[in-house]
Amino acid sequence: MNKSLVRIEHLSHRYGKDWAIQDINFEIDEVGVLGLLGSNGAGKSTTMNILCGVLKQTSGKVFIDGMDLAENPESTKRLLGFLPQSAPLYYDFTVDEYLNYCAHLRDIDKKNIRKAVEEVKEKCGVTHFSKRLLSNLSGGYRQRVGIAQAIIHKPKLVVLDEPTNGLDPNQILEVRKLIKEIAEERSVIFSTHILSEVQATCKKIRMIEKGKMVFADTIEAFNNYIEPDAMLVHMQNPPATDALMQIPGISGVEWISDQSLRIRFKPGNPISEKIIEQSVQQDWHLKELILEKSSMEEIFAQLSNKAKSRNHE
Amino acid sequence: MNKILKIAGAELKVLFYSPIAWLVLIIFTVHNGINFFELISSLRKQLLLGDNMSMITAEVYSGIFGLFTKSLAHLYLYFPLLTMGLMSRETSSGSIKLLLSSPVKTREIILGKYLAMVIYSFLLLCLLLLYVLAGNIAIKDMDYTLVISGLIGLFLLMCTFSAIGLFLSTLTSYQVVAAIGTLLVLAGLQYIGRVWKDIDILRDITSFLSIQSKSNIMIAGMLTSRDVFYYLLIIILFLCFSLFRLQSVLERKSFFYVAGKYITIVIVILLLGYASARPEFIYYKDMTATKARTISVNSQKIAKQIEGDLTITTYVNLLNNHFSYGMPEERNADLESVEGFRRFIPGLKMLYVYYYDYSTDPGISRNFINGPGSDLSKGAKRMADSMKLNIGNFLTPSEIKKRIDLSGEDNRLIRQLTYKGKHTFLRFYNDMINIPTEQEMVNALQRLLATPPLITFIKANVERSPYKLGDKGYTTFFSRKDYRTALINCGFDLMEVDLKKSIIPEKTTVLVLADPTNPLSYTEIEKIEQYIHRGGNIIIAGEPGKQDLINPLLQSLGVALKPEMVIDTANASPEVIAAAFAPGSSAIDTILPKLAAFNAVVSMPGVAGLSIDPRKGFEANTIMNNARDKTPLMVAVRRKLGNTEQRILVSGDADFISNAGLMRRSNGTPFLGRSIFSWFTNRQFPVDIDRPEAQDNQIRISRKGLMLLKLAIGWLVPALLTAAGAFMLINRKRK
Repeated sequence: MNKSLVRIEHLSHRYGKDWAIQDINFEIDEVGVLGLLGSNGAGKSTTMNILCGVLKQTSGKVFIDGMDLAENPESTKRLLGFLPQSAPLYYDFTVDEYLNYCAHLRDIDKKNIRKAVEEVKEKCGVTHFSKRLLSNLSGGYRQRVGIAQAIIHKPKLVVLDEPTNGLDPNQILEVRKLIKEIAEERSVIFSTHILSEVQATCKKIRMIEKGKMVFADTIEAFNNYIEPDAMLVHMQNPPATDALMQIPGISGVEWISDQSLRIRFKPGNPISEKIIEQSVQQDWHLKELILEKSSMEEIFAQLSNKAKSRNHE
Repeated sequence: MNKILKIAGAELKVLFYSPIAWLVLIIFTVHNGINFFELISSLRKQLLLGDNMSMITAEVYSGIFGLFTKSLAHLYLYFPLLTMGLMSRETSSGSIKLLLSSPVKTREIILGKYLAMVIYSFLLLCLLLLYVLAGNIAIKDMDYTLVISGLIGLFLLMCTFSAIGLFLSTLTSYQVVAAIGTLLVLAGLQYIGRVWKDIDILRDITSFLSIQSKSNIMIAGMLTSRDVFYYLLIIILFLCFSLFRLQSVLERKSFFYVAGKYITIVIVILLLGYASARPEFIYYKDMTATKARTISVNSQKIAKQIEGDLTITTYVNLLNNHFSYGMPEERNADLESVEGFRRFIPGLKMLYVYYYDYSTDPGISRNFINGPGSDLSKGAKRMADSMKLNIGNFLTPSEIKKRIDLSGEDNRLIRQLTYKGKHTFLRFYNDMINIPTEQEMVNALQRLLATPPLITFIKANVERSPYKLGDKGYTTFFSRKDYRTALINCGFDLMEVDLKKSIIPEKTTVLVLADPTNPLSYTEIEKIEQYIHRGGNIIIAGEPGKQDLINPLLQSLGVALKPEMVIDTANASPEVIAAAFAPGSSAIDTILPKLAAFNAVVSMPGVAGLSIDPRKGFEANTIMNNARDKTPLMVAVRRKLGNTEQRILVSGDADFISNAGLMRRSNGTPFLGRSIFSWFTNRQFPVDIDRPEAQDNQIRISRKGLMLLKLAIGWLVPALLTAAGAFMLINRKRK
């Protein structure tokens, strides 16, 4: 089992009277990618800002490598690299100037700065833009430079707040690849509100909704959690609702058109075979059957309700 | 420290990678260039037209139109543009998160940003140094230390503006808001010294907050630890504010904790400011070559003899012409006028008493006052109302009389100095300056420390009188209280004595017998002869035809008035002699013979020549003579009596110091009159406050040279800056 690098205990923060996050607890392994999933305004960025020492929490504690962030801000910040939602760039600087500055800020030994800058440029694929002004770079390359500054000092923990936000599909794939490479040697936590992003990149997932942690497990467990509970069916000669409801496991039928309908069933209860079987026997002329997974919003709602009911228990 | 330097470096790059930093440098150089070269050119013209000038360095750099003075007035316009982005740009772009998530202390961020502005300020200072270089080429014997003092003052002010701008930049993520906020604060601090001057408590606060005034003092050449500390404390205050503001993002503290932190730093800074402004802790450094910002060496010697409290009470009469000088709104200027002495007299206290009473010089109150004896209360009330003053704050005539009787002073605006139970008046005058200066102040102090000299005039034979008006009277020279150079304002006491009835007072410093009309009685002659015999000092001034009256007294001295009037037929008025300073005049003051080189003369209308045949024991020196035939017109006779020297002055003319004589405005008269009476007091009164002459009295550059200098510094430097800025900005945009 991996040793934990980050430990977050009872983290809460409020802006004015409104709680942005409440009682967040989780740990992060020394190696691997952890996805912080949540809809917009769920509290992901607040959690990350606190984790990186950019924002002081209302209550709770953050330990990095065993050290309390509040008590040892400098020592702990040496161990982390942070890419905020909006990359912290100086647009009038060239890539080289900017990374050099970041290297100094990140306490890299003066004689190693040049090497560190070259390495990180190579790794993030921006070497050919070394002399280019940041303001003249495309969004994707700016994001790469943003990631470069976060890893230039080879931190144990890399925190990326929605790193693929605003990128085109190709750029997203490149950044995902980069994140995976970074995570081979160190711990990466990144936030997103896109489920596929997490599924494509992470091994572990923490989900925040309305400031509260609603899910904390592996991506496999999460995928199981979001198993299908409905299917879209297209038949030339569909039966009446009552006839369908007689099939064991079906919990509801929703007509979309004369020949299309959504059939809801209890998760973990395979009914596809039964429907195909019945269609053949009763001449329903089944043309198409598509399994539907829960939408993100529904998952968030489900998880929130589940968390609430767990709290009530 | 390394990170502070790196952050400062990054900030400077950000500044210079945008046009603002370049624009400010260029505008600053052009603006100063125009001011500087216009002034130099104008001074050069004045010198060519024959004007005498001294302290040209002060004129060029710290005068009303001086380079530093003008720069100071506009600096507050530049700094908001430079400081607006320091923190607000970081917060609005989100790049602050780079700093906050890095192992960098918040104080390193603030100090780094501030250091960038200090370095930029130093660049501005370097541009001013170009004009110092130009001054060095243009001005003969330039006063370098004065210029250095001004540069220090400007630099401290720029550093203070930077700290204030930095703080305002931490308050908002909008750069425009930060710029406008900084401009408002700096403009407010620039002008705050001019408001609420009439309210005691507020005046102290606004005076403390008036940032510019301290720089003005430094630009004028006076560096004080108080002013330097003031700037350092204000800088520390705003840096702490900036730090607290940044920390507030990273700290979760209660409102009371945060408020307590701000209040504590304000209190600590105020206490340190108060302590550093205590007279006993202030270190003064007069940076001018001639120590022009410090009272003269003799004034210092006298001031240092004052031990303990010296109280200066200013009696302000609402119904006198000069009352405004004493009003609360002029308090700072009034305190400033004695600042030079306060430095050497820590126990100096200033008190003010307000009253109303009749004065023959009512000034603007004349419309409200009917005359002496009338009911003044209504007029005073109307006067007070028109000036938006509360008449209740002014003592009535009867109330002020219980305290002090100023009727002898015509109820004019006046100060009374009190030291160890002794009092003396220090007056305000009817001239261009009005207020008492170092000369009158030090004379008054000397009166408190030494026995004031007494000039005793013999009367009863229709002699010239110090209290008589008219052409032949001596009021202007001796007793006019509103006349700055009258001897009564130079520390002397005056009295008249009728020798038929009284004796010559023991305290007499010098006895004056001036042009008696009637023959002196035997008793009078006997008393005067005894006085001379005892070794008393005396001035005997005659007129043509008075030899019979005067010569009997002069017999024992070996000097005599000749019977005939000295005539110069070459003159339009042959009887008016332009008396010249004779070499022997050095006997009474070494400066007098030197005046001859400047063609200084003393106008003597109707003068009798003197014959000299000194008696044994006496030494006679001709002070003034007829330039044409060297006939002695004024003679000093001296003799040693033990440790003292008896001094006698005989003049063939009694008009040269008369009211009409002074109206002739002959250039040597003021020197002669002053020197004569100074001689009788062994130079104790009036106190000699002369200081070395300034050497920077010429513009040595030619017209062509000045044009070249203007081209090089006034235009070429801004052009180079423009080219450098344009090259850098265009080059970078292409990257």
